Amino acid sequence: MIKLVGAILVIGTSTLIGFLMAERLNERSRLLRLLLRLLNIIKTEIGYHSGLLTEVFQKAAQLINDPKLTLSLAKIAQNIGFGSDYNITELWEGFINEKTMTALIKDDRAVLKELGVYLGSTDRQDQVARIEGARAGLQLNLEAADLERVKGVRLYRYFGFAVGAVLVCLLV
Amino acid sequence: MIKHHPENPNYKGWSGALCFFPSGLRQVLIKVPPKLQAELIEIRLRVNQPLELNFGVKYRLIREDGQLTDDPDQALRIGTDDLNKTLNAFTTGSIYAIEQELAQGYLTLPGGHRVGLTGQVFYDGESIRIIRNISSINFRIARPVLGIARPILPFLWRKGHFFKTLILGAPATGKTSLLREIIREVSVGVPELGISGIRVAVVDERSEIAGGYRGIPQLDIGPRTDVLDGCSKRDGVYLLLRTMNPQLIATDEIGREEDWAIIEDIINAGVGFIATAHAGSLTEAALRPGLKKVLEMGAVERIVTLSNRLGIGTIESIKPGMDGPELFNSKAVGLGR
Repeated sequence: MIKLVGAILVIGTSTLIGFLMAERLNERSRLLRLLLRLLNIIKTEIGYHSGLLTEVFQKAAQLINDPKLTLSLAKIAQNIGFGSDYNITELWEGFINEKTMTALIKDDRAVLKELGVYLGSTDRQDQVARIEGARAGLQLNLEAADLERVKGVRLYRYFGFAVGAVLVCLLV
Repeated sequence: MIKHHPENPNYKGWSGALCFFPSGLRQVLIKVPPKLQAELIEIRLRVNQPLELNFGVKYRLIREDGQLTDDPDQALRIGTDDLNKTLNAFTTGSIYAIEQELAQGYLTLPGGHRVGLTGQVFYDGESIRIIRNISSINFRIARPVLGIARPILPFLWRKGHFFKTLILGAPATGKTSLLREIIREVSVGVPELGISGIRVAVVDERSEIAGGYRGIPQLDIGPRTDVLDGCSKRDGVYLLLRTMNPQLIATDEIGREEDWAIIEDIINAGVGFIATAHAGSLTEAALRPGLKKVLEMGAVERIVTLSNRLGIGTIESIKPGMDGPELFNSKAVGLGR
């Protein structure tokens, strides 16, 4: 009886780990899509409306359609107003290192971090070019993430179960 | 808690001005004695130099504890980091949104406050593209000085006619403040002087007259005043003549070679004008080629000369033309600043 419970526990845990790893792949693709949308909003607001960053992020918070990102973007908008001690580079870096962004990999963060260094601080033409550059970088990462997802999601799920089953066989 | 919003009415006056500074500097400036706060005109930050406060007739330095001093060794010194933080706080880090203003070396903030900047200039062909690596910031606090035009209005208006007027003065003698007040008074109308409200059109090339922030005047310039913000005189005058049917056109800082032709056009269009120009006196004005032509045209009917002799906005003289008699009997009357 104890062996049966133990076997179920081991297989259940490894299957869960497999599902979580698969979910992480899904989440990365979802986040990259949202970030591409965010960069598009920022590009439009800076390129065509030329609003201040505080307004750009307010607008992005309204349009992004993701409750967690909405909160984060609204926080940036609030912290970058007149008389603020923060600068956008610090706030942007804080944003990409938030808990909600843990599914991103090092390459994704590198693209976003580089954009943050120049965000707001050059002329409009350069801002648009840099945002387009970052979008192109994220788009490539998204394509790679989608490929990985297609292959990986099923693999991780089965692999989790299989590892659990093998472990049980070895232990019994 | 400071609300970061451009339409926040708290941006007006001294307390509004403080909202723009980063917290470190704000904590120092907030300690300026209340009596002196009302006299403070400019806050000047220069890299590796003491923070300086301009009270109009005198300049003082400030210590870290907020006490005023004249000793540079005791005064709070401004570093590159302070300047960058201050610029970031003034601009919200949105350089792209103010690149046109930055190329001209100034910013206008909500509340009408103005920030002058110097630093490293980068050119795009023959025109300035941007000023970077800022080395000096001059924050000029916007305060309405209501009523300062009253003593001279009777000299500028007769029987429904506003005389074509030029206001002369050295920098920081209150020319623009006086111009703004004249615009406001004639726009509202002053029944006791027989002035009915008239339509005034302002070409505000550097957003100094109306303190325009994103085109919206931040300072009171009257109910019948239309403002073209950030527009060159050359383009603005023709646009206003064609579209706004003004009775009076006002503009700031004429004196360039090409300005006389613009003024000639205004006069030929049968519209009144009032303008300011940098010149300490009529003699100095005559030495500037652009102003000389304007004065020699004989079109200017009133020349008001200002100085700082008895405080900012001291009226030194009002004349009907270059060689006309003095009209202002009570010479050297201060404008209350």
